Amino acid sequence: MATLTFPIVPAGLIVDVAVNLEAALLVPLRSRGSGPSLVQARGLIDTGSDITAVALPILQQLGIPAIHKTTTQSIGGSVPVNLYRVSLHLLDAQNVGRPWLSQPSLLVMELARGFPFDVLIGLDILLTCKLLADGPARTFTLEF
Amino acid sequence: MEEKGLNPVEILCRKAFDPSSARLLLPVERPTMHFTELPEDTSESPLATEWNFYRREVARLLSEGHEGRWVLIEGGQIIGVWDTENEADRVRLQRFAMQPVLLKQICVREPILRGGGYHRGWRR
Repeated sequence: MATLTFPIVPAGLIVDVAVNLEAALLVPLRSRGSGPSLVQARGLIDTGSDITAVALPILQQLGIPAIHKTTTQSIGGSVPVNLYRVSLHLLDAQNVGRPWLSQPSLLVMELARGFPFDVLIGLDILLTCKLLADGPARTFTLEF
Repeated sequence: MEEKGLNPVEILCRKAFDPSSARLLLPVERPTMHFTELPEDTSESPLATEWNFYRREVARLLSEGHEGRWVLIEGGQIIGVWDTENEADRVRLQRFAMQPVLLKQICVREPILRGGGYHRGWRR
């Protein structure tokens, strides 16, 4: 089993994230020597989210178009929100040689404006791994 | 029940706890909304046109027996309807790789996804 361990900090369960085009688009582009560079970001683990969300500026930087729309519950009621397909990786930026938890083709929601992180890691990713929180040691581990 | 080592408040609460009533409070199904209640997208965001077109067409698609199938919409036009997401997605990648198009499962009840920070009042 591969593992990634991070400190639990006052802001929450924070992980390093890399985002790029979905694999079906990125791989052909890379084989021709083109395609965008990945975008590095900070993500917050959120077990209250069904789906991972990515900040719109990151999606725009990569030129990723919206391909789905669904509804979510906001403070003011149900609102339509855009979904995008990306490749997304959780990693330890201090030690990039460690295994990455990779999702080659993941449907993500556009993050609400004003959210204080770049990425919100939801249950769609968390259900692919084990999340072990060691409260007294102030660390958490993703096992996959 | 071994009470040794438990604090007095926990002992009191354990005695008062009624498991049968507690379970009634737990929602077990993901919330959904009927297709007639889908909110209009009044924003200028990508897919607003496609989403509002879908809202107008979904009753007809359902009446024609397309429930559970996947529709691909660009602007105010249905590109096609397929049995699986993979089939529809293949067409999306071939014809609309880097442009916004709506790939959507046709549902009577639409799942309401939790997430994205929309239900919280975040401040930087």
